[in-house]
Amino acid sequence: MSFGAPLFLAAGALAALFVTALHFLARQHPRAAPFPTARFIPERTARAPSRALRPSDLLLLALRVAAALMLGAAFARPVWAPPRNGTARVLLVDRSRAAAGAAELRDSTLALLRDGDALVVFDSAPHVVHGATRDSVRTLALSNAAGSLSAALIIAHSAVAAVAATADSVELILISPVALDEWDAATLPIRAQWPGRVRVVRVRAAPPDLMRGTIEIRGALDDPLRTAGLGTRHSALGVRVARGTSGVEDSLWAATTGGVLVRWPAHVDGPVLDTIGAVVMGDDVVVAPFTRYSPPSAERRVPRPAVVARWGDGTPAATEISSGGRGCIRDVTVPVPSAGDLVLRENFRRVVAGLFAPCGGGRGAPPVSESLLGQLRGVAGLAPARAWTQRERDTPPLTRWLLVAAALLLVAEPLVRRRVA
Amino acid sequence: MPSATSYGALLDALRGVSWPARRVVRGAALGTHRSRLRGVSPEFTEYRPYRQGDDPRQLDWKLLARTDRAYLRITSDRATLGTVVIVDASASMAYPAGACAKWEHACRLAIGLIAVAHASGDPVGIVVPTPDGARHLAPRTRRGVVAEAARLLAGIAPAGGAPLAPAFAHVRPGLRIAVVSDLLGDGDDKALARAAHERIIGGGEVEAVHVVAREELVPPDAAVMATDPEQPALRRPLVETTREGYALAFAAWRAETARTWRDAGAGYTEVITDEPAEHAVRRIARDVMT
Repeated sequence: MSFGAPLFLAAGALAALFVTALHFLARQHPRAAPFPTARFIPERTARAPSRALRPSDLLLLALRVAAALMLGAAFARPVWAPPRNGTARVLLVDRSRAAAGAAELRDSTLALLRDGDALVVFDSAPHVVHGATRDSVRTLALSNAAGSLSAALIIAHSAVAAVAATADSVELILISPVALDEWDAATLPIRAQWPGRVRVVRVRAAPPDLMRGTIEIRGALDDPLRTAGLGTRHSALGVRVARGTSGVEDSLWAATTGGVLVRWPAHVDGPVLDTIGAVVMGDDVVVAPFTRYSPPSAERRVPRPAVVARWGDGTPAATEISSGGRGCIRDVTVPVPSAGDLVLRENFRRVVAGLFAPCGGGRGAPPVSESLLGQLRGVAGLAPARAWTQRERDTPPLTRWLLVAAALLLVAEPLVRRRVA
Repeated sequence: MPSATSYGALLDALRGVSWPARRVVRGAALGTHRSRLRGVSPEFTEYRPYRQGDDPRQLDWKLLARTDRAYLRITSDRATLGTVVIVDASASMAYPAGACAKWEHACRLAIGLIAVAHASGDPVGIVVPTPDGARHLAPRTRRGVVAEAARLLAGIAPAGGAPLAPAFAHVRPGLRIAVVSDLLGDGDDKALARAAHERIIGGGEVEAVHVVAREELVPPDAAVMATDPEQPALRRPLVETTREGYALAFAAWRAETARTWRDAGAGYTEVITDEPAEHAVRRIARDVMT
């Protein structure tokens, strides 16, 4: 049995001692004795303070002491729990594209994994692997999605509950290259919620994608993108920009080569919806009087496209869907004016570079700094397992029973007191 | 309880003590108390001139022959005075609990008074009111009457609350009555004093011997719920805060009781239980003489 607030046990014991002492000192009926001249004693209250060597009204004393002890025990929040020992572990395994290879990830995980450990595999979306964890690790494969440390840390809290019941402490092990693109603004605040240190096992990070293709712009010769020289650079896996219509062969090219098909029509036939002043992509913002056209009829795409860039009001300006293989298709609705210097602006060129980036943003993001890594590890000891089990049991059942028993005793006390008075 | 044979030392200590009557007695039988009658005893008192109608046998013929004057020779007669001791055997006399000091002391006082009176040739008797009726021994002068009284007392244990005033009916008028009691009977102190007053008016004598336990004067220090043994419903806490009030009230009551009895014409003697009985009996007899 363990107690959530053991100080209340001491308080209950003190109260019981106080009650016992009162029984030795309490005002009570003095011992009756025959006294022939009793009639000459002034009439006073029938009770008088007296000290006794042995307490009287033992039943009343037992009731009061039991009530005090039970109240103390109830407020001490007792919990019947198996004895705690050992350290439970939660393994966060990063299978995102930031890792160099699945084999190293599997080996590292298998070397650390013990029976009873909780296993969380994550990329952009984490999930807890229940049962047969070693087999799951042996079949672990990398994904193309970017990793999210914040999501993994949040899921770690729920994964702890399954293993913390009998453990004394919990160790969180992160097996990841800890690349910068896995880190976001919420990572450190979420990390601060973990009441212990984090053991980081770094695996090799994936190298930047090789320069294997070029950016091919299919459009008019005077297309602003072409004239601005945006299509002559090499890309990671090859980018095909369709400024006109695109066909099945373009989608097939993206699926088979892993390239990026950017569907960016030079002209949009349709009524003008409005004009909007900015396009936002990551940290880059391009301010210009962009014209928006009526969006295409709302078609429900499965899977839902990922938003690559947004208009200033938050609506998507560029989206990305998988082409079925390693490649992807991006739809861009940002008009590129043929007049003006917009295409020459540095921030616009960075936005265009982002639109031409490999699917999912690309591999080879640099690792986080040692300073951030130190904050991620933390300096505290192992997290106490009680931190999770107490959260689960706000009012332990034993507390309720003790409170009920104490209440019954307190109800019985006046009845017994009336009987012995 | 004192046994009938435990009074030897007391009786030895009281040998030679006399307990004279407070005033002249009417009795005709020869005794030790001054009699109202003038008779022919050899104890000369005075001469009185002869008056017509006097018994010529009382004339002092030698004086008449020498002086030619007729004088009567007057002598004082001595008479006996029947004495009855009424002993209170109510529950309040059984105090302190277990020791029964008040009852034992009352028994010793009663036997002492009976022995002293009997030694003077007085007929002595005893009356003990009990809840089952009065136990009494009629006044007698024969030998062994003291032992009979002792046996009667030995067979009684104090209990109940029988009033003492009705016991006066068991005593013939003109006798001396000694009441040995704590005078705590339920309303008995006033009734008893009234009965004594009536008895004294009728020519009798009454001596009140007020037995008080030392523990009643100086109660034990321990706080107790004092319960009147004759009225169990009367319960008062005898604690530090009530002790002084008790002492004052008890002293006032004793003074009032003594005044009441003395105003009634009776003798009154307060006897504390730690005073030897022979001393108390001597004090009672001395008070009468003074």
